[in-house]
Amino acid sequence: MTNEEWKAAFGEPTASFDARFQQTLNRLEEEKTMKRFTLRTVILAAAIILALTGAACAAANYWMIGDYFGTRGPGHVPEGFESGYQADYTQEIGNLHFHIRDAYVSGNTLTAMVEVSRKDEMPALFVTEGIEEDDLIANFDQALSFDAEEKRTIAEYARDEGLQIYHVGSWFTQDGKMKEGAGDEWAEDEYRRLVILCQVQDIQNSNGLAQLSWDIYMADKENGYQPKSMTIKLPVEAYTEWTVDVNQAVEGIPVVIDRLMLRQSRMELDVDIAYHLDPDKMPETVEENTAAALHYGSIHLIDPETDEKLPMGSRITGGMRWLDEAHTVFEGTLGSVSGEYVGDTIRLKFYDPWQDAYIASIDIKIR
Amino acid sequence: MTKEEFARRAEEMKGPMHRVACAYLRCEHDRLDAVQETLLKAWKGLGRLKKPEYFNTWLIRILIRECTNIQRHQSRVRPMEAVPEPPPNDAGKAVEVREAILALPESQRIVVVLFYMEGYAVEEIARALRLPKGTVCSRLNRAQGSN
Repeated sequence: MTNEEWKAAFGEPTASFDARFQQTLNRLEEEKTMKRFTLRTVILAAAIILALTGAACAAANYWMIGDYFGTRGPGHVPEGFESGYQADYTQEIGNLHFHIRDAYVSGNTLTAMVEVSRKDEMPALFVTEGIEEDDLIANFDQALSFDAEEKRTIAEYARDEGLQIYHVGSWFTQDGKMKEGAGDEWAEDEYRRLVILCQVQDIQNSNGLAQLSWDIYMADKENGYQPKSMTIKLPVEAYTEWTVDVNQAVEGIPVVIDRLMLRQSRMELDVDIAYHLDPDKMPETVEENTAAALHYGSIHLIDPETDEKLPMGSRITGGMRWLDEAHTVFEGTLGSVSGEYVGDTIRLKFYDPWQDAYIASIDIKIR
Repeated sequence: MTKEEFARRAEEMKGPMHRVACAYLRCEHDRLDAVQETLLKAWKGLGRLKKPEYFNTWLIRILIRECTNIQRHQSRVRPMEAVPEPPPNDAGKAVEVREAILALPESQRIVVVLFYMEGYAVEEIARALRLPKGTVCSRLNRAQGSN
């Protein structure tokens, strides 16, 4: 095969790719002080803020102090995470201890925190799925320290630091089926403990109780792959659902809110949103099919009383679906508010990462 | 390096960056995000590039890091339905090659892309991926064995 035949496998860059490429180059500033955030960076920044203010304050780690933590901090643990979880589910494999620290089912979503540690509580390198021992440990370094001296692989680092490597994993299934989910993980207590946060969708329940299989594994050189499983039962929070038709344009930006879909339980208020971009009000600089470049996906849930961001619940933001190619219509998960939100109005504020500022706002009566 | 020079060199790398992003990320929007972040981080971190002759490799390494970050974050967010991809304008062999590449484990896929598509030498790939040269060779061999 020729080099050109190889290159043809992935085709030429699309018009959107070209547009974003050029747009980004055009916006570089000589001072190199421009802030730039994609929606993902905004979400991760929020997660890091949560991490710094939450239980992870005491954490340090053996990977790269600060850097590792900065990339693998707690994701979307609801602020004031107190689910009322009463059970004490624990499994052990070899010399490892797996424990469900907290868990709850709200609607059809399970949120659970599992901690993994050695029984003797000594530090170790807990490696989760997808990471190989011949990966460079510096690949976990988000500081992009290209001149770093650290060239060891994970295996070499563990050998030099006298740390045993354990390949571990934890997930939840129901009726033998893996459910769609998400998660995050981080180290605690000088890497004596790995915490795995997961969120699993489409959980079924019967009479207010969800029965699940909690599956774990440990793998090491000596003993190979060792799976284990146990059945757990979790109470399901009661919830109410309702839809609010909005059909309002947001002043100052070409966004029209169509409706909010809400679900409220004792734990949190989930908010989904449907909106579209008004083509007649789109800025001239926005090219067709580059709605993502507007960053209007950065919509935050705000308390209208204080004009501050509401405490974030466990539901992960994003997940917008582009429903209509021609008219840039979006529908999807906006986020959730932790706790029992009692207000009858909620404020949405639109954050423009290019300006690093809110640029528009709308109050919506939700009950 | 001035902004104009940076932009010129980055433009020369647009094709390779697109192909590397395709090797990691299936969704077009993810590739757009990865490339945007790569260009911004590269511009901001330009002072750390001690040897300008390694600019291309350095840019690819940042891109791989961004792609990996997006993949990791994707596994931690509720999957969203991908924005409809434009239909590929190809047929036959190109599709075959693409599917074969995408079927490879990621660790092998990227070395195949860099070696066969972008014509990188083993040493350059090792530098880009921060891997020992032997590891690059063994992953190439395994990838070839898969076909």
